[in-house]
Amino acid sequence: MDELIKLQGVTKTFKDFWGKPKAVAIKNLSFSVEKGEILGLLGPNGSGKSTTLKLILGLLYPTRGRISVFGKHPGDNVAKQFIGYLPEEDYLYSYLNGRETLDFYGKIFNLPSKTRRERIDFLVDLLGIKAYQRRAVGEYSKGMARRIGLAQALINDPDLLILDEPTSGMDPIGIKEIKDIFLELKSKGKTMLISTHLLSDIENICDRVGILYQGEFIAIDKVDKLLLPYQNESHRLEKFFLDKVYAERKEREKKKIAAISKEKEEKSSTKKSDEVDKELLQDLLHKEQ
Amino acid sequence: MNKRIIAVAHNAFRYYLFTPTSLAIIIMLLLVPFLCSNLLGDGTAEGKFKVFVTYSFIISSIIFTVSNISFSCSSISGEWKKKTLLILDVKPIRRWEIILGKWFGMLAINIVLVACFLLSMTFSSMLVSYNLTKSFPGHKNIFMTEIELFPVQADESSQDKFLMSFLQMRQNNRKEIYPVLAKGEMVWTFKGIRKTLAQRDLPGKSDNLSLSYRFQTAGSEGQNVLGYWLVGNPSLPAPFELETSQPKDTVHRLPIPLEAVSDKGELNVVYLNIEPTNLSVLFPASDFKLLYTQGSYWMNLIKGYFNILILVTFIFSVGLCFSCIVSHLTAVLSTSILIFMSYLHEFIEIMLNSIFREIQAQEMVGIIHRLSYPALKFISFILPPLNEALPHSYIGNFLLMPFSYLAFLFIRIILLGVLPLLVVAIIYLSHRELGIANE
Ligand SMILES: Nc1ncnc2c1ncn2[C@@H]1O[C@H](COP(=O)(O)OP(=O)(O)OP(=O)(O)O)[C@@H](O)[C@H]1O
Ligand SMILES: [Mg+2]
Repeated sequence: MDELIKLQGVTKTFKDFWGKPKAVAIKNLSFSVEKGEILGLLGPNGSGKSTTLKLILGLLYPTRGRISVFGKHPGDNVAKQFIGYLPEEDYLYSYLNGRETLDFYGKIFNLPSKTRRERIDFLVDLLGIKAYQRRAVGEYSKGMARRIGLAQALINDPDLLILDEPTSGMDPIGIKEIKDIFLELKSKGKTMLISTHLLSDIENICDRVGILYQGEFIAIDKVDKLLLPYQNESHRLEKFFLDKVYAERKEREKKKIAAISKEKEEKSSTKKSDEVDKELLQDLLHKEQ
Repeated sequence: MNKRIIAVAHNAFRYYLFTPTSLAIIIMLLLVPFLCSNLLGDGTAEGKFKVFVTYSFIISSIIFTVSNISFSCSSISGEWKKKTLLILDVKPIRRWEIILGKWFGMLAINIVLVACFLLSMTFSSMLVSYNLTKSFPGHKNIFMTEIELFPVQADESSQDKFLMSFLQMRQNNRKEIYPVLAKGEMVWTFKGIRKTLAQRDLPGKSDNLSLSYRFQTAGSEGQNVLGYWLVGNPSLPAPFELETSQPKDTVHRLPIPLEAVSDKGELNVVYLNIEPTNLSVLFPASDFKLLYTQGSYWMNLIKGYFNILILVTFIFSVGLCFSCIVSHLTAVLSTSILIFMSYLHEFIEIMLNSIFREIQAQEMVGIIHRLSYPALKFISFILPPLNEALPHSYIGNFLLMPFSYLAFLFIRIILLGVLPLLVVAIIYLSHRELGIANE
């Protein structure tokens, strides 16, 4: 099997201007995504999902470890040709209208004007932005901007799609439509890496899911395998996710408490010996009196 | 140029052109010449015209400077802050292509701005010339550009050597005044007159070479002073002879036949003081010059725009480079300081020279001085003298900038000032982690 993305022991520490570490976002992360596979990244806020995606895209550089995309360095110009990226928020040029935005990115991909027009027409239809394609992107609502963002990611018909919370801010109909698009892309054999909070969405889209917790995977496996114990329940992935995260949190808290109590014990034991000494002294004094 | 660079340039151009700020700038540039055409100057036709040209160019170049600093300093760091750069960077475009695209976009917007100014300047020049011909009849030569040439040598062959040396002592050895005593004479030598140029520019015109002078005497107001001029060069068999009888303290123009100039561009002018009332004649040196017309005002106007374009190219390139490296505000500050220092180039030169002279005088050339002086000198060499790049000094003072000088300036600004900065910026940005915030 071809491995499109491969991470080996990747650690990302955010540093301030003087090189002092601020936050450890990713800790010793290793996983790979195979061709045609759809991997869902789950995890609570701040667990490092966006950071992982940015590392794969070459927007961030790993502090330690190795990353390869299409067998190349992240950020390689040839590899970028086949990648589509939707960032967590819509960072678009507010003065361009929807069509111009897509046209601009089409030009960046060196698409000839005829192909570009056809592709834009297709995407505008697909994502339902035809009605407002001539309005400035700055005036778009959150969901509208999200659709344009997705269209922008699909402009080059990419083989690898990296999507950061693609359905955030979308209405239920929109979410349904997006899900259908994903299924279609899946049938075309595209590889996808999706970070999301809407668990029910990706349950029947993803081949595998990984759950990140404070920069580490607490679970990563085939969906069916992970959800085996929850077979008869309705919101299986959600339940699994909550159970996993709660369990992990409890465990860590336990560890923390254990560590703290150990410290305390050490302190209290020293205190006690002091107190014992004092008591002894007082006893001795009494006896002398 | 590839499609990606053009796309980025086009995008940048659109962004800058359709902001309210640039519309305001365009309106200002259109209005400035018309407002300046209302200035009066010193009351003469030339004065009014000079004031109009000089002020239009000064004010507009300030507008160009400020707007270009604000445009260029936000170009990359602004996109970084708005994070639009994140999407662009994961597309198959190299970072130097982004920078070059921005550069070309900025060039395009500046060409539009300069064109607006050109349009306005052309129309207001026509307006001014119409008004001047109405109120100052006989001043048709306003739009002619003249080169001023001062004599390289002045020899007096006076009989009264003692009086001459006394006068020279009073002048502190500086030739501020050319004195011609009663019955005395003075020979001036001019060099470097481009005869062929003068002839080519104005074929069939005899008044395109003239001697401009003013003189003072002890005589009464309005009294005409008799003088005899010999104009020629050593290779000529006989000089041209002209007799004048003119009042003191007004600027006179003596037309000089082109044949009097030698092939090497040399000219000798002799003044014989033949005033019967035995008056000495004093010519202030600052007003004693040869004028010859060269080029037209319109040609110089176009050259002026080219100069402005070079100036803004330098400014926005510096701003662009800073915006790749630091955040918007820091870039604005750094660029402003650099541009300000460039404007102070002359001042820096003078300061450095005086420092060096002092060091030499005190004979304390320590190691620090030895090391720091060349460094400072190099800085002042890299910084282009922007006051020289400003076109008003060429048009306003009716001086024409030779193309060789322009080329020199261009090379100095582009090669020494901008290219290294651009390379540094490209290298720097190419290795930067764009995913983190640019504070
Ligand atoms: N530029 C940065 N500088 C410092 N710390 C950062 C930076 N970007 C992210 N972090 C830290 O890295 C960690 C992971 O952030 P990340 O954005 O990857 O989380 P996330 O899983 O995407 O969360 P969310 O679900 O809210 O999007 C967080 O603790 C965050 O504070
Ligand atoms: Mg995120």
